[in-house]
Amino acid sequence: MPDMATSAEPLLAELAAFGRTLETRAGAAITPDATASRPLVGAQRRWPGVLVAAGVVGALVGLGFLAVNRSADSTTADLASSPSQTVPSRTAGPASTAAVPVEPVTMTPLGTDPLGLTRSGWSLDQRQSFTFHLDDDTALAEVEEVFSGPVPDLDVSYIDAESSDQARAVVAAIAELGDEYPDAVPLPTVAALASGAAVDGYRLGRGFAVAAVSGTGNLVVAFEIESGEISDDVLSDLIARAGAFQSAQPWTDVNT
Amino acid sequence: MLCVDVTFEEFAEAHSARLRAGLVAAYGLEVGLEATADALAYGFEHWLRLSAMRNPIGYLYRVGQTAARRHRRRSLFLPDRPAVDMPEFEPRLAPALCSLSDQQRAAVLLVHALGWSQTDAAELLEISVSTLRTHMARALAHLRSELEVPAHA
Repeated sequence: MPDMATSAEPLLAELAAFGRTLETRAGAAITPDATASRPLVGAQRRWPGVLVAAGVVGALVGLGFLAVNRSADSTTADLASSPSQTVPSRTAGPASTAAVPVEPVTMTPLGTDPLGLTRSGWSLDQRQSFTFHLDDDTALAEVEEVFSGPVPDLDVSYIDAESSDQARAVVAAIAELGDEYPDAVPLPTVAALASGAAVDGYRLGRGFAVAAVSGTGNLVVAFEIESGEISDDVLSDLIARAGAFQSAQPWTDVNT
Repeated sequence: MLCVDVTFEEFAEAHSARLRAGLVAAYGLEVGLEATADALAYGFEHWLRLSAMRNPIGYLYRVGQTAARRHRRRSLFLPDRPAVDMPEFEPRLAPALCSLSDQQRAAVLLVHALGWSQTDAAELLEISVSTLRTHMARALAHLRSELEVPAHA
């Protein structure tokens, strides 16, 4: 660890001293050159409980799944009132690194689940359904968990916006980005979720990028499926674009 | 970082300290340690899938972020006075750090308090180095303003 106590800047010296205490109070050496002196202590204590909890949750999910199947007719009727949208088939153009044919994907809006939880999402081409919460306690690991089954190489990224305006600007920037990539297919259907969240996104190659603003307006989720084309750099680019977009174009609140 | 031939225990022994550092830096001692335990538990249960990922520790960091959101109704706890035999630091530093965004706090603490390289910190946080630098610059500017310290002595 560099000796920042001798740094020319007083703030860095303060931070270095603070880091020593933080490391001590955390109960283990957490500098990169230290070995993990106390790995898993907390986790080992918690695993049995976690596994039991996972079993209980699994049972509940199973019951929920059965309930979904039993109510398939009514669910189908509900969905019929919410028109499915099909993204047209595209072949990736020369600018794409994927350069593979893109199959049509049907996005079907889902409703509230049988457990009464507020959930929204889409069924992608009958391959899977995914749901996610969009409140401030959004379980993003749950999102990833839902995606992880039939969809390989999941890569989920998300941004915690610092303000409602920033979150909305990121969403707008993602929509804007779709106009610049010849292979990107905007998802015009994804305008608002039942939870009141604003969502926009586009399809790029074989992947998706979707951004969502929570009902309370301070969470942005951006993720991709089956695509390595959307990198951290692109996400950073999105944030930069969001800043420009935010100042140039007033946002129309789709939550109302 | 593919870990297909590594057991979870081996992976955790090698990397759990990094995970703990990142989550403690972002969410404080109480929530950060709880989130670390939750993330490691998640990793244990999903190791088969996790081990094939490009950056499993970054993925677990994101799992820990989610866990932290569940725990964060508790207030952010950072030490406001030095531990025994540790150097003194400005008592207003902890409150000032608490006023940063989670990403800014994690970035500035990992690099400037714990001495990580920018590359290591960016890998854990799963952001680009340039984004990390942006977070650090904004964090330091905010801290200087809060603590009324000049940029250079």
